Amino acid sequence: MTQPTHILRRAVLLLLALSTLAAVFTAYLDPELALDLATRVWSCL
Amino acid sequence: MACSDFQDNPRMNPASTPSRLSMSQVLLCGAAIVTLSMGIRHGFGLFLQPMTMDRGWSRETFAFALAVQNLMWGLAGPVAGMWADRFGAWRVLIVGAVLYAAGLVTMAMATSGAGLTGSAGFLLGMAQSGTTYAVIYGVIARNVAPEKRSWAMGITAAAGSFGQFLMVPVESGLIGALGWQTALIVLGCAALAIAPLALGLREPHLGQAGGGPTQSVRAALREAFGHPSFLWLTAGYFVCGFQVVFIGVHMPSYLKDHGLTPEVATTSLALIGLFNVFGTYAVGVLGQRLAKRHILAGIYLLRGVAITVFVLAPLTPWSVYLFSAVIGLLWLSTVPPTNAIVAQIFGVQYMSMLGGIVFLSHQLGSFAGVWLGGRLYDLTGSYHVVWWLSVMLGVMAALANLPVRETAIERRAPQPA
Repeated sequence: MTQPTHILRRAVLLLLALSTLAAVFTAYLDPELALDLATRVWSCL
Repeated sequence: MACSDFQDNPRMNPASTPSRLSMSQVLLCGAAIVTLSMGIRHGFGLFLQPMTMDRGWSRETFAFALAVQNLMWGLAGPVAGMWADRFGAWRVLIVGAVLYAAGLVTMAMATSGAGLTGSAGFLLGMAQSGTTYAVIYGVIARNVAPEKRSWAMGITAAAGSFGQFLMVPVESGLIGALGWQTALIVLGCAALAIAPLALGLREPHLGQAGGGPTQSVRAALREAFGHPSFLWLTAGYFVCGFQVVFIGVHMPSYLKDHGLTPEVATTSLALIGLFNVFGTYAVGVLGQRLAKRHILAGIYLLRGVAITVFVLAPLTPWSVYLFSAVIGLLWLSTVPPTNAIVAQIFGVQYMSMLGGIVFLSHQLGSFAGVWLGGRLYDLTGSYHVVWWLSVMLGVMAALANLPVRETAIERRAPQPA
């Protein structure tokens, strides 16, 4: 694999990984889910 | 620092010969397996409320089953590891996947406290011991060259961290959409996916090639328990379990006591999950360049500093978020260097079994963290004593890791009769 292709592949993988993490993090901030989680986390203890 | 500090003894290490499974195959299958196994278990707390309400159980009934699960995970770990080392990790993973699915389905059907303890406690605890890090790390150690091993362990640990991060909202969504019983059955089906993935970790010729002396289980155990570095690592891992589980379980109550809103606790949970992924990967990369004992000492020391600043500083939402990000970076980052050192010292023949023993110490620490957190709160009316105990243990763990020697143990080759 040539150097530019290798760098491009790594950049795409990194972008994909960061996008996935950002999407999951956004899920936590969804008000409905946040309230649901908070209620359960709160009421657990 | 001598380069030999970071290398295995090639005479004893089959991984220094050409890999038998490709690294990408090991990483893809291993990462997918721990994403599932670590992820599914991480959302169990979400089932407390709907299950106890529907079944009329006390919270203690549910909490007891999960406590048993954690202890079983630790206790069964060395046995699962030994079987993985001897008979192949893929076999243990398949049995683990079946137990995982059976545990989740029987948990959905449990109508008594004993049934819940049997399913969520014993079955799922054993399933986790056969499908998590110790078993996967044995395959990585045997098939990835020593110079890439820490990185590979970091990737796998990051996958497990990602699973934890991902599955909390997923499981919450499943419970909301399908109800808790169907959600558990769906998760049971997801756990079964571990079985085909395990086939990708099937190691041909396990225990035959490699050029190193073979060793009995008894000799391996005697050797490990007679080695001070193994004992130091095991002691340090106890502290890891203590701190992580104390913070994970008691943090919401601590925030509530100080008048912070539930949303702060949820965002804190998300930040810990997110930064945990970065932390575990970064530590795996660092492990290729720095002495792992120094990395471990640094992690434990930084945890102590982070807790000290958190407890002493005024408590605001932003101080919670900052603490969550820092502690998230340090959350499971002890996993890759601890296991990589075990492989470096003792070679890879009993990697999963020895990793399981070190992990047992982690689980005992987890148990102590949850229990002492509650007990000392009841006795003193605040979490301050446990926070300071965590700081003190962090410093002790940092010091305990400094004398660890990362050089491979010298063994005498068997003499011909």
